[in-house]
Amino acid sequence: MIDTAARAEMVRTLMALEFIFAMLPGFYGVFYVLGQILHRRWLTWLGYGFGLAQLVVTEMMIRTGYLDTFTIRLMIIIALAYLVLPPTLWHLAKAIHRVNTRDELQA
Amino acid sequence: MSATTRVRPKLYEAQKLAIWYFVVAIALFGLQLTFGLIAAYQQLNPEFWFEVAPFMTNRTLHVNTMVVWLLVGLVGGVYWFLPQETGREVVGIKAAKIIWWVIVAGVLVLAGIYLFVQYGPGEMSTLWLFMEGREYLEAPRWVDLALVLWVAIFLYNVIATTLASRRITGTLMVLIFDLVALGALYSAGMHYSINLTMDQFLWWWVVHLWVEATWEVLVGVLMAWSLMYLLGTPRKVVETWLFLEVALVFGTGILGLGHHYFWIGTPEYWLGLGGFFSAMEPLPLVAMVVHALYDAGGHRLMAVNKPAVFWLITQAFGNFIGAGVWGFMQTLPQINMYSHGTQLAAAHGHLAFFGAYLSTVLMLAYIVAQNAREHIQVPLDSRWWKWAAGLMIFGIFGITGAFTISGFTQTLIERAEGGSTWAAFIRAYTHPWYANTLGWRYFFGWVVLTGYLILVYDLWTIGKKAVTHARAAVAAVGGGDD
Amino acid sequence: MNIHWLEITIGAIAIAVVLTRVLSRGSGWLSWHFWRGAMIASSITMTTILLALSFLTLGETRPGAGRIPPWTVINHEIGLKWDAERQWQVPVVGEETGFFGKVWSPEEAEALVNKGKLTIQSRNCMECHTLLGNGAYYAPDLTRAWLDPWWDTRIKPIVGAETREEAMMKWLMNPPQYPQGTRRMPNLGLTEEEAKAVVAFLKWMSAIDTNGFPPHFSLTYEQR
Repeated sequence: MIDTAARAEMVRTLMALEFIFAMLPGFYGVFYVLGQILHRRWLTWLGYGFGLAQLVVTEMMIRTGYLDTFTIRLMIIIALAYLVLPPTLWHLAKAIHRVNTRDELQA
Repeated sequence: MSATTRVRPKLYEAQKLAIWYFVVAIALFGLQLTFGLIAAYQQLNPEFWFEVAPFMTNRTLHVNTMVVWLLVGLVGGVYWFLPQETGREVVGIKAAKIIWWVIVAGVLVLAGIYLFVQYGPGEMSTLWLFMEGREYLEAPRWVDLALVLWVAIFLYNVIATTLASRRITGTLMVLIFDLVALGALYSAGMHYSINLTMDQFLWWWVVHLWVEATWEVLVGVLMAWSLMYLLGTPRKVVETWLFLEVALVFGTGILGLGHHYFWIGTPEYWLGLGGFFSAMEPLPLVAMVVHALYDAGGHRLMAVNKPAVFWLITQAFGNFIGAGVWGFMQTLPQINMYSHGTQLAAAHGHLAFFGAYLSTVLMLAYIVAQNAREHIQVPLDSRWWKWAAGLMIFGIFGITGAFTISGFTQTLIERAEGGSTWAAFIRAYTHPWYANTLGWRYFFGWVVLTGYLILVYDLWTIGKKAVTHARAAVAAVGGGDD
Repeated sequence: MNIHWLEITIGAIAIAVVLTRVLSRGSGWLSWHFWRGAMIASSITMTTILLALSFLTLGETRPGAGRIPPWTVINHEIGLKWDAERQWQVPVVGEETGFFGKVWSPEEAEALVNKGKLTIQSRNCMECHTLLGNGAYYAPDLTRAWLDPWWDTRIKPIVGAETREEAMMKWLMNPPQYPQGTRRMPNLGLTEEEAKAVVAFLKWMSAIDTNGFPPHFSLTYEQR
């Protein structure tokens, strides 16, 4: 069992990092989508940047050495999932709009 | 002003009822803010009204008025759109009207009980008459029964109207399915158990599965109708996306319930299940943002109702930031072990409810307000709605920020260093980082209240000018309407 | 039964995907029909899994079923010990010491804890305190309240009590008289019977295996 000072340090570090970890996929999604809507390539790339930063933060969290194996696995799964989700959802939205608007017009 | 007016088609009885729903919802919203402000002031000055109405009383009223006004707003929204969706008057509208006034009377009686009775002896009868004493479900059993009756009549209205219209749309399908779940889950809240673990296990079925599953789907349905109304998105697109949302909300939210089963005495597999599925819970919220932005972006915000579109976009983002990001922040079991039961949960709660539900109800309120007048102003716009929205959003972010800082402090001082004892608790709330943010909370509470007052004024007056213009035009041309 | 979360997770997603394919056979994956199938499939799959797990969980959380103490735990000494494998504290039940000077039979103990639960609900305790971390965060968490050293060091002398249970009972019957910190607890008019029952409930609660919440209870700087 670690002592209280080290424990406080651990909680402080992990919470700060997890806060950033939670924000990044959000930024990624929003900038990616804005870039697509406004046809600004740099916004999309900024989005990708946040996506990658999320992986970096995951790595930083693991490197602190505070996480147990279970949490490390969970974090990696989550990080990878959120890396592909925003573009996937965007393309899904686009495709669903295209296909179903066409159907509606034909109907 | 480039706005035009057109004569409003005749309102259905259900829509007239819906107007009453929104009047009451907005009034209860005012009460919620008032009790919240008193509670916030009591954090600063714990002796204030200590003998008359201590913190617990104001907090009960704060959370209960919130649950009720949001639910009333959502149900009101359905009564508003249902006749349009089915193309006919709602079946059983008489029963709907009667139960509505019963509910209003019941809410008033309940508020009186909370304020003046406050608690009862430790017996079963207290649970039936005065106080059930489980957070969010404080309402005594007779209120629970009235609520179930209300939902049952509402469900009957929806199903009977759908059957009478001989056409079931995708949104109606989802709505009926969701209302059945909503009613059924509430009955889990009427369960008494000595065993606290079992008690809280089922308690979360109501609290979590309402807020993070069935309410979220109800919002999805209302958003779908609003998108069709506000932006003219084709039905098939809206419905397909709604199905996707529901698949994601139920797919992640039902087992996401696990994040409430980390520490209540339930087995350890809930740590992993809750951790994973609640980390995926922002997914439907991201989907909502993508969809709202896609549709709104395609229209360059040209819409029939500007404040409603604004609240629609705010809903997408607010839901995502409040429920998604602030929830995600504390969802890993290893961190949640320290942050659970601190002010961080309150930070998450405030922002999530604002983003997800308040924004939805206000969006609906503006749609209703637009059509409440004889002449509809298109596009609906005013100077004041921006002030109301701006102040409320600024205020809620201030409140959330203050809660987040005090939650951080509490996590470190009370949980990590102090070992969660009584002494550690006192040390946390007297720590400057905690104590100083209480003042900010109170201040930002006033900011939200100011926004609220402007909102009430705006809802009361918006679009009225159009009527005067229209009348003048009619007088000038000498008859005929545009 | 030993269940692993990862298997359930992967299984749940796989079942939902397969069921979606079955339900929406013959329609393109961007179509209205496909996603209606997905909605039904994911709702049914997740609900079924939740019900199954609830059934298992409720079996494991019956009083006396391992994680949840039996009602008679109020007769025993209770403590926490560090579990090196799980990396958190687990409650340990020690020898029989009695409660309020007597040993309670299983029926008496259950009735007492039940009274305590009813009192806690009727006095709306959760609207300030947290129980197992859930509540209003205005007052201390009560999960391990029974084990709080504050009763012995601070409350016993000021209320003039011999034992911890007596100290808690006396304090609960008139909290504003003995304020602790700047926030006071109102006098909720607890009778002696009710106060005793609340103490029993708190003692029973402190022996629940909560997966280590609240973390490192009572291990402060002073006791390092």
